[in-house]
Amino acid sequence: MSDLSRRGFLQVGVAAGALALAGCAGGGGSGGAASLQFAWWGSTARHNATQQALAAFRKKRPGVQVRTQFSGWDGYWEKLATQTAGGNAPDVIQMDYSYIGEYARRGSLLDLGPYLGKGLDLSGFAKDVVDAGKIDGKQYGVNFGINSMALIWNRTLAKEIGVEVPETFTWPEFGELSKKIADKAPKGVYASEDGAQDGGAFENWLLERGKMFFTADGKLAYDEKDLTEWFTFWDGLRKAGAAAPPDVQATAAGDVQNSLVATRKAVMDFAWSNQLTAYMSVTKDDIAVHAFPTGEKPGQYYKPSMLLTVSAATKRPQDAVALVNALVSDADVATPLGSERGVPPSSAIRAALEPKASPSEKLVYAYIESLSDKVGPLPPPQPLGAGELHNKVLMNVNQQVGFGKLSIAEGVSRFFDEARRVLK
Amino acid sequence: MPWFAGLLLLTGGPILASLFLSFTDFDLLTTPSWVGLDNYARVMDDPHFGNAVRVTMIYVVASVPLSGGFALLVAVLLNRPMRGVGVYRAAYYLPSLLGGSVAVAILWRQIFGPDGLVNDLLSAFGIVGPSWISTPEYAIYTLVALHIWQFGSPMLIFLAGLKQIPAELYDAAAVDGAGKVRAFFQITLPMLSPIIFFNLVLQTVNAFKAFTPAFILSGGTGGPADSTLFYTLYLYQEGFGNFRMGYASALAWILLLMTAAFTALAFRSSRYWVHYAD
Amino acid sequence: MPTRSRWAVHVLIVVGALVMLYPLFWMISSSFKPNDEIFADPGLVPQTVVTDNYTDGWNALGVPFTGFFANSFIVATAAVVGNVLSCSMAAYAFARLSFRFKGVWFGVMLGSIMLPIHVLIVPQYTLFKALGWVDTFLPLIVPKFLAVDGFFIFLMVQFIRSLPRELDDAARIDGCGPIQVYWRIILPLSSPALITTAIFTFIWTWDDFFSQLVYLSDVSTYTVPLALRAFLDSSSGSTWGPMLAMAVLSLVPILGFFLIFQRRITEGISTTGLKG
Repeated sequence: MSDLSRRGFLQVGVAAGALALAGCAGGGGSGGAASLQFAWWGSTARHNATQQALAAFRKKRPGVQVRTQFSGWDGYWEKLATQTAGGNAPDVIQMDYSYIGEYARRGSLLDLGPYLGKGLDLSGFAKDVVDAGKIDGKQYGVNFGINSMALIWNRTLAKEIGVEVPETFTWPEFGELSKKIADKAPKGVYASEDGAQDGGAFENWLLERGKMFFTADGKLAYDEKDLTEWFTFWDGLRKAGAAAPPDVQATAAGDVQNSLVATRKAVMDFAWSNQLTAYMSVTKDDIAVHAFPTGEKPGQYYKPSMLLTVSAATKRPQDAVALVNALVSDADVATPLGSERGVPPSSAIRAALEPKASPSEKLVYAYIESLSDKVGPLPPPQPLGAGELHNKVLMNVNQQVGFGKLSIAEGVSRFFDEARRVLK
Repeated sequence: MPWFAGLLLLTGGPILASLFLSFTDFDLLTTPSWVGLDNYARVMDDPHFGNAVRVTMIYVVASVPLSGGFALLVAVLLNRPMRGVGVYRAAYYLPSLLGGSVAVAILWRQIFGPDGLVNDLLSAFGIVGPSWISTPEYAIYTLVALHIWQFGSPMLIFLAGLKQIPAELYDAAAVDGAGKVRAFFQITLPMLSPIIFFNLVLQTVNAFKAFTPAFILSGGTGGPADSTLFYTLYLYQEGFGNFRMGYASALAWILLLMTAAFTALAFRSSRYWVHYAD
Repeated sequence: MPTRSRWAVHVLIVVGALVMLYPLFWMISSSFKPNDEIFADPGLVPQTVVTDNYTDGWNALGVPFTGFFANSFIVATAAVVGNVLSCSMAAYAFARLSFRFKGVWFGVMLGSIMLPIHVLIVPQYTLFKALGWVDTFLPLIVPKFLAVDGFFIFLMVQFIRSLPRELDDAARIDGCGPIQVYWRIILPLSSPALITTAIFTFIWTWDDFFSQLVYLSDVSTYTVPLALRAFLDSSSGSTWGPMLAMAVLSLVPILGFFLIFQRRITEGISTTGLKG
């Protein structure tokens, strides 16, 4: 037995080694220590644009090898966490706003503050746009695209129903408008998705009343009364048939193609301005962006659609910073990227790229510019667990209320119980 | 056995590491710190834990016997000499080939959605059906249906098992005047019992740790209202979504204990109904 | 009457097969639709037929799909060889030989299937990183040669245990050692199980996304599932058409593998020798 298996094992071991060599000869270790690893998520348009930008970068810095690691959104975070845990994080990391706090506060990211003006030139950025990359006062990230909350609406569907959407409206007016749409809409079509579960919508509503999600020291900055009022507002809309009922709302789980605006079950969705292109790509309907309902105080703010960060464990911080800088501030490198990641943060790059934008990207430019006198300051950074609370927990509690498993009062107290469990 | 060292290192290592991590506070990004039994104590007041166990048990109890029975039935039908039987086998295996691909998620919405195929059929009888896939009471059963539809793996294993039954046994039974039904119960089932046992155990183990169906159909949320929050989906959300890998490891070891208890029961019972030739 | 009932069964099988094939028809049809029609009109007949999805998709990631198919083929084939060899040996040991702590090892082997990959991947990654194997195919291949797949070991144990032991005894009387019994008796007679293992290993490796994603970073090492998922991004526009076109193509090798090898399950062994 052992004789045969030893021989067999040796043979297959050699075979496996040969195969593996064949596999890694093309890429893998070719760069060695002199190379940078750059990770991003996206779809094919972004992969190609980024490869072109990197080719431009290589021309400028021939000494720096850049190895790429790209995927879709699914799996990106699991891989990044695994690599970081294994001490093998990519040097330059495309980061989402909802994760930057988690990574920065746990010491996985490099503070770029010392490089400002010394290799990292953010002079073309507005102050708020720079500050959007700060966590606890340190510059962990560089804005890689300006973004804001947006009502996505299906203009074709609105026209069929025969309603006009006014320029601006307050939250109560939004409610009235929704009921008006519902009266005219055919059965099974609603004015709006159920915004109660949307963290962005809830934050907007709070900000307009002079409140916010979190205080500067990371405590919840609203109370049971606010959430009760929010749930009650939406409960009224659901009961009036103006907002989607829970079983319809739950079909919107997952990607944009399931959203109620794309499936023509609702006229309006609560989303982000950089999602417009995704919406337009899955439907033939005319899709537009509109500002959120307005209030006494500004409810919207400019948020990064994504950021560039550098791993704290990078062996080549200078080169990593040079790559980050080139991607946002060097016209030769940034131009191939286009506006696919959102409106470029640097004013010079923005001016150069806007004329080249695609039709949907132009709508986003116009939308972001139209907000300039309506946006408020960036709220304080969120504590650990905030993303979980205002995405998962809020959605779950709202579903429990919507399906009648919890009353509004029970839902509110469940939410605050979970908040105590989740926030650090 | 010379490969033993490698085997121990490559599988044993990570398994032991996950056991160790289950006694730590590990957020993936910083060094784990020992917290003793805290993670296991946390399970006691975790409102989602009980729900995840309940949802998973429903899934196991409903889907394992149904898909196993269906797989056996189709395997027997496709074990007969028939023109193009290979093509039929491939056709019946195809749903399993697609696995957790997006096509399956899209298809299931088309069938069990509010204006899906099922409701179209029901409306022919004047019944207005619910949105099966997005109503907490029914969503889990659309996942059971998906599991039954993807019965290819146990079917193929049954087919392989059927091939190993000596044809002489059937000839002898025919001589004795036994009909097809009697032959099935007196020859096929006992001869196939080791394979039935295998499918029972493995299908159950896999159903306990089922992840992909709920992930693709609920967009990773386990919704609506946690009604499809499978145990492993919850564990994954805790580990990777909320950076509580220590807790996720503890959840995994509790899952292992539950699955192992079931498996031990199955092995205990196998003495009475599984017939080996050795 | 029996012919009529046979016909009824046959019709039932055909109808069932069509139901099972529906998603394949849907994928093929959608792969010929423009992106904005795939979800707007889920019907089986495209309003406009486009073939761009295939031409665009093949080169969409800057590297042609040829390389992804080659990589998937290397990984899947090596995994098949590894699993068939190592799991059958391990299964033979469990089913026929006696060694110390056999019951314990069997329990550990079964237990290893019960832990979800999500809690094993981080320690595993750290281990392979230490071995310097990350960004190569080794983490995906070498374990298969070490009989780590409890599913297949258990499967083959069950098959071997339904072979009469008299066969071994007869061979042993003829002077065969355990290796020869394994090689001459057990291996040929359990060929349905070996082929089943080969089919499952090939298909499951071909479809596996998570571990390939974690261990492969450079696009030149990407396999088909990694390439397919790189088309999809919920935060920007997914390129559904080209993705579905490539997904249809990626089914061809596994469907072919299945069709070729499933015949071997049935033709496999003659059962005459089994009377013992």
